[in-house]
Amino acid sequence: MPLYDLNGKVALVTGAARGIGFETARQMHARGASVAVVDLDATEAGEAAERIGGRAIGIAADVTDAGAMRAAVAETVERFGGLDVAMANAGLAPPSIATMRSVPAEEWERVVEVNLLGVWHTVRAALPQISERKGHIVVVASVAAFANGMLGSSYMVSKAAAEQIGRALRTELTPFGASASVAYFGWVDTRMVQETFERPGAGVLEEIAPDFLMKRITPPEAGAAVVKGIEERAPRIFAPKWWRYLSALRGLLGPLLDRRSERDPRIAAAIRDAEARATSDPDAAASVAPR
Amino acid sequence: MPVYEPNGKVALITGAARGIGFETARQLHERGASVALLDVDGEEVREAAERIGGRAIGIEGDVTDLGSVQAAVAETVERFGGIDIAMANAGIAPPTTTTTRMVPSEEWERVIDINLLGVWHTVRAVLPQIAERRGHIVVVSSAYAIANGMLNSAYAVAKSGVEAFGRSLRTELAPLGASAGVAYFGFVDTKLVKDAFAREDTSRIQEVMPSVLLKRITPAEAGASVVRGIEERAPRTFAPKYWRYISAFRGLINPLFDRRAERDARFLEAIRETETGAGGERESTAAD
Repeated sequence: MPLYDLNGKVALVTGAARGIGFETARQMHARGASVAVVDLDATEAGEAAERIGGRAIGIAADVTDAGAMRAAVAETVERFGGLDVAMANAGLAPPSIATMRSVPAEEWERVVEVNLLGVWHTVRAALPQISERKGHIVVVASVAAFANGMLGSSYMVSKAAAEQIGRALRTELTPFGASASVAYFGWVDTRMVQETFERPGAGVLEEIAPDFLMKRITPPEAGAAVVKGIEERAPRIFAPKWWRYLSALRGLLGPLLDRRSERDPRIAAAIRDAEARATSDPDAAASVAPR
Repeated sequence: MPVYEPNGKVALITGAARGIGFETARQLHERGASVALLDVDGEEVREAAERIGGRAIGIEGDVTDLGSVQAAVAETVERFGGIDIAMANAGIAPPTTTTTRMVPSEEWERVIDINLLGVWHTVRAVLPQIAERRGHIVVVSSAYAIANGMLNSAYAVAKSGVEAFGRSLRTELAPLGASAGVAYFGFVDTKLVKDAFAREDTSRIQEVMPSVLLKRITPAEAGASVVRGIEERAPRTFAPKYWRYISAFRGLINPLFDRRAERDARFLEAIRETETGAGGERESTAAD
């Protein structure tokens, strides 16, 4: 018996044309919710909504634009009469595997803009409805929130930051009968993850991480975990589940793994390779070369 | 015996006109380093440099502007021949203690801009020097990277981002022989903290927080912990020290604390008062 029944509720999901966002929208819809599928591209969002069926609309909006997110919420409210569940899911993986020194600045900043400020704009636009209707917000962080972000720092920084939005929100929503979850995913077999593993330099991930950490779950499994978390108004959602235990021990494991990373020659080689790739690229070379 | 000797080194510190930044600069200088103090208030930062003495310069600069920090780095290099140590310290407290829902959005975004993107700009500008000279970077995070950010979410969000930033940076600098550390402070008796605590909107929070967490240390003590961290190339420095243990057990403590906060009538009343106390403003955040 779910604590919070999705039947008859209205949900908005960002980054919902594909992957975890799409799957969560689809499964909430299957439980009787009306869903607003928000994504950057109008055609993709519309097609995804169509695949879900009736009570689903596609909305084109950019999460980095506060006004666009307010308009998306307004459109959802107009169409379905309110908004009960919001999932700030839209996210971006760093376009290149690079160090802080060698990454193009605009790439680093873009990831933070989408993954952190995008969550802020989504949450901010949805909050009046969620608070009024005693609903629920899901902030999609990642196990990256407590992992070492070498060679992809913009992602870890933005996900660590997103986690703190979700925690604070939950406490702040409690007096109003509303709630929030932070969702932590390991590797999910989405297009974002597939593309990440195709990038130059990605091999080191598979080389250094234990196999069980690299095992990917499917988007439907990730979506199911989110839906269950919403129904339980859970503070934290982990998929795969065992990340819960790593999170519990993060304050002890983090420093130990960081120290190991510093001493791992394979990681050192990957960092040197990443910087060498950058110096062969004239745009990035300026930041690597000493002044 | 320090593994990294500040004597003869050059340090650049942002937000150094006052507080922890100033104290760290002063103490590094005392150990023989040349110091460049960066702050938004030019007059104040030049006076601060003068108080420190020779081998100290004050530079007006804004960490939200990458070009401004790059210019400060260039000036420091020109004056002292290079940069070995950098401390990304500049930060502000949210001007209003309120919920994520009620906070004026430009206030929330400004905190992220200074406290998180300011660190990125500072680090980005100094990295070529630090890498070349096998130096050390300190990024200033906070106990708020660990604690629940209720009624202060922008600050907690930014500081948590800075912590992840510093960890990544340390790993990426290791193969080059350079290093980085994350500095965590509880409440330090700085202008930032005094101003925040003097405001009426924080009085309820002070009532409900455990008093051990509210005890303030002096900026000199905070600066000393940073200097020691630099000398040891430490990955983490905590002041007060007990935050090290809270950090180590955060994965267990935080879920328990968060649950307690949700059930603590005093917390909930403080949050409710914050939102309703804002009166008519509540309407202005309603979806249009």
